[in-house]
Amino acid sequence: MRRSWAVGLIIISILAMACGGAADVDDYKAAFVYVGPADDGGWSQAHDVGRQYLVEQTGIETAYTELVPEDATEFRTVAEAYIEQGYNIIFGTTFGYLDAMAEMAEEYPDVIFLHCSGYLKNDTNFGNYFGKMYQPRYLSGLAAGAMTESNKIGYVAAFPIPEVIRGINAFATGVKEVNPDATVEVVWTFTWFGPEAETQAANALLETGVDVLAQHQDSPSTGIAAEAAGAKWISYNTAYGQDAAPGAFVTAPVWDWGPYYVEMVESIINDEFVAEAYWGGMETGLVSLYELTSDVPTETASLISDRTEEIISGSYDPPIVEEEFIDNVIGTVNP
Amino acid sequence: MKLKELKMIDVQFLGLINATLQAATLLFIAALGELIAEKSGVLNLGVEGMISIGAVSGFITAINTENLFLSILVGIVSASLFSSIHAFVTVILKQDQTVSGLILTILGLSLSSLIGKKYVGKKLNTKLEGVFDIENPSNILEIILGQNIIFYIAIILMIVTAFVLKRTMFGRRIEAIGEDLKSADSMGLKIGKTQFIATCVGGAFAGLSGVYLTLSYVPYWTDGMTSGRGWIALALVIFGGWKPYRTAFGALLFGFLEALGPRLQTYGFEMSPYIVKITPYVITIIVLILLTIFKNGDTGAPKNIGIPFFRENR
Repeated sequence: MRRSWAVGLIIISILAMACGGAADVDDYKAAFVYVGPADDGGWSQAHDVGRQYLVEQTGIETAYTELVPEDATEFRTVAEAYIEQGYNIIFGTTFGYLDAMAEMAEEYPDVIFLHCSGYLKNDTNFGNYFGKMYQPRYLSGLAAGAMTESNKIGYVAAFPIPEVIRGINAFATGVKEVNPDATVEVVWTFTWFGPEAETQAANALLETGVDVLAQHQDSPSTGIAAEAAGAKWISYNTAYGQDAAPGAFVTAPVWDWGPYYVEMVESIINDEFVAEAYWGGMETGLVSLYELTSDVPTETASLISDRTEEIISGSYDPPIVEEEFIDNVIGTVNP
Repeated sequence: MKLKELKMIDVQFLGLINATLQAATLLFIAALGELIAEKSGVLNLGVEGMISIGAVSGFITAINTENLFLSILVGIVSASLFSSIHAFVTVILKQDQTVSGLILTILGLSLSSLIGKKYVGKKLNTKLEGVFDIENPSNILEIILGQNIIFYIAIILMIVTAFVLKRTMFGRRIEAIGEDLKSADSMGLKIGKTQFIATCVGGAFAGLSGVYLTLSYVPYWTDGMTSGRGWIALALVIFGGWKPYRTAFGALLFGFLEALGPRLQTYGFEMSPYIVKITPYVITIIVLILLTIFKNGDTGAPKNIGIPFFRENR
């Protein structure tokens, strides 16, 4: 009698497993690891907004840890704790997690690792993703070029790496298109996030007579400095930073990670996931230019919207230059 | 064209001076506070944490009340209260000053992140403006006059601190305790009380430095605002040989380097900002080496720094 019970149970469980072939969202939990505060008004906040969108759209259980330094051990500690709690999708949202994620993907083949801004992947459970931010940066350059009166534009930049250099050149390409006389001067801060260093760099540029500032930084310090000097400011990452300097804010090339996160998680649930290097352009909605303020001249605004359509349709793509600065940029790529 | 170029260089030069004074003010006030604590024999490595507490509490008060006087006061008082943790642990419980100070830094940074979470990215509507309303300053005097009230307070604090330490009974007591605990004790000086007060005064100064950061210098709050200023202030005390005026000179030098870093790039120099970043520490080490060679290692440090006082151990 007892044995038949046991056999029955086994049969039932086998049947249940067979029928449950299409996995359910409840089988997955996604963890996000951020380098900055989740409400930094910049890079990490953009990812967290994406996470919230993912939850709304799919109902998946998520969690996040903020302020995890770009250090292999720090990342591992956080990620392993999540894996122990049954999290099986891990998003690492800064470049510095690269090595740790690559190693852990080998150690935990059942967990899917997705790394933002990295370049490594494998064929099964480790992919990377990023966006063509240079496209909206080019568009913001059109606005900057049209708005400068001194023909001097400043650019507060983090590190001289391809991603940043490509963005500066795309921006300067936009500037040149509407204003061939204007220059773009670059100051490197050597920090992604350093309010004081960013303020010093912005002020250094303002002192040279620039009246429009752009940035590849994660804090709105550049905008605050611009506002104090009566200059204009093109932000970055999200539009949240504009609260800190509404008087200077013109627009911002922004990230929208939500749709990508939804797409990935749905492909995982439907067992269609492919580990790939994803580089989404404006056509995917991953990157875009935030709504322009009324300070931007009407004809520039309509030029920007024309170029936006051309980029989205694929008939135009700003040139990608990563080795050196184009001729209207002042500065060096090897500081 | 020539004239215009000349004018531009002028603006850049004055900008450099202005940024130097701002960076120096922040460093100097914190260093001066640390100097007072160390003079009494209490090493407080928590400067970074105390600045952060002053910065966040002053900023939050300013956002909510738009009362700058109150904000400065709250920043000073909260950092001072915070530093009393260090005073309690090291002076009353007589525990290790290094450990307690490091804890104060870590605790202060985390606590200020926690308190300030809701205020990240908020716009400050009333920031500290210059005492004299000077638009487009055209010479160094106007740059100096255009500084805000805390800059002037810093100068007053420098003079007062130098005077109190050298010329008043209270100052002599602090110094006696910092130099020779046993003699100070046999003279009947209240060691615990004096060290406690000196530590809390140090905290108050760090708080003022923090308020200067978020109400004027970088009028904004986010995690990691202090970005290592507290550590440079600690190096500055050593550079200044525990003397207020020399510390002020050091603050100007370190502040100048900080202001120069990003500006070198706009002047067309190709120098790595990393080199500029490490310079204050390198200079401090060089000073220590020079003192060792030429003054037999007499850095001016109080003899009893870092040593807790146990009467039983006499």
